[in-house]
Amino acid sequence: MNCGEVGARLVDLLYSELSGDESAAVRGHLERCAECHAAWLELCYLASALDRWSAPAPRGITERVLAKLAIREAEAARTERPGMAMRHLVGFLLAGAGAAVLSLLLLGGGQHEGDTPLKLGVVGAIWTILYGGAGVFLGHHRYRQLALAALIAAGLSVLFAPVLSMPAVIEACRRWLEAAQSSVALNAAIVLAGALYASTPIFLSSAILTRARPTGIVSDALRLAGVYGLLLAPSVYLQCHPLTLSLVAPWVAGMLLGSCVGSIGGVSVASRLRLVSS
Amino acid sequence: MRQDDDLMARARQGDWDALGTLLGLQEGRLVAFFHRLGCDPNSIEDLVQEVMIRIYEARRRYDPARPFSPWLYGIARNVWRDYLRRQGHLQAALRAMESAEDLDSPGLDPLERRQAEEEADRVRRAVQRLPEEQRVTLILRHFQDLSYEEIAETLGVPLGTVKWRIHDAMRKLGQWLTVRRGGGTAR
Repeated sequence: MNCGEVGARLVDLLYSELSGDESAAVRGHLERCAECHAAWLELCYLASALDRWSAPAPRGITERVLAKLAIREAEAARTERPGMAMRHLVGFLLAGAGAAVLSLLLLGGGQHEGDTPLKLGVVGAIWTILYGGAGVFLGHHRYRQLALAALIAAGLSVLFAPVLSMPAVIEACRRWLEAAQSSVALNAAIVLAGALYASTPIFLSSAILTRARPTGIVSDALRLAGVYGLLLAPSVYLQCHPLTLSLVAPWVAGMLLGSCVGSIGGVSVASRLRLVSS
Repeated sequence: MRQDDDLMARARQGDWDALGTLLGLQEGRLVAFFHRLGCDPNSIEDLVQEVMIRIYEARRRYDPARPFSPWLYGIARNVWRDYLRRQGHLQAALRAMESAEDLDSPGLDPLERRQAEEEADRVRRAVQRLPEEQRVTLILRHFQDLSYEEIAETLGVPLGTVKWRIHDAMRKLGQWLTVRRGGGTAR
């Protein structure tokens, strides 16, 4: 190995980047060649000069980062939908199935004309999914209050439903609805009755339970109305299916209207109360 | 460094203690890395925190079959480049790169023995006059103790490029600092 080859390898020798044979060859040359040895010493002195450039000591940054990350982990755990875990999902669906069976019993399922086991099974299954799905959102910090308000309002509506599902009441309603077909005033009264029936529970539950952000009243209210309307749909179907769609249209329209108005009103009141209390 | 690889593999699996230990081990290295890159002392903590948070966020994407150091310094280098962009230092770094070629002129006169702080300051200024890529490469090799191969992986450049950058950087530093036997450096 000549001086040029050794000179080109001195930095690699310094950083232990040469193979064993190369390293031995370079070191052997350095012992014999004064000029290359001097260059090697210069390089070693340069390295030691660089080493004197010290860096500041650590300043407890890790602890502060870990504290931040712990908050993020907790936040992530809090916002994680429990429904994503299979056992939680199964739990909510079982609770939903229980609520669906109870609702079917309260609505007198099976006592009306056309209530076949298949039809009741389908309605029960849909209700299970709806109740269970709403239950999943109870675990979500942002939607928890909306889901709770919708579930309680739907429960209250179903509690009142047995009265409307009694055969005598249905018969009276049928006569009333038939008469309304030729009367605008009666149609309006039915819409109003449907709206009152649907809006009262959702207004009360959302006014008490929700904490809508002042800037999110409309979006929160529409979400609430959507969930509540879906939860009510099976009971409306069970109440109305003995009658024709044209007869029950004003009642259904009133309930849809009531869901929206009740939700907006309740969320607005909750928001106002929250502002006042804060 | 093997310890780092093991800790990172465990942190990737969600081991919080391993993550804490790993970050603790990197803190001093990262502070030194950003310090030697010439970052504003007031920004160094933010930069180190940013690297640590990126490690946490990217931990599931880490390939445990590969060494940890290139991955770490790849993140650190990205954070540094973001910092330069934010600070508008990139142009300054480019200007420094252009002017680096002029530094082997008589600017560095011989000096008598100086105190350690003065020498360190001269070394700092000399290293910071190196072109950006040479400076990062040299810091990774000399101060952060990465091998040529690890540096090549960190910077995404061929091994020969790493070798050339280090050789050239040491040649320039040798000229600028006019190293004298006995440990002193001269102007």
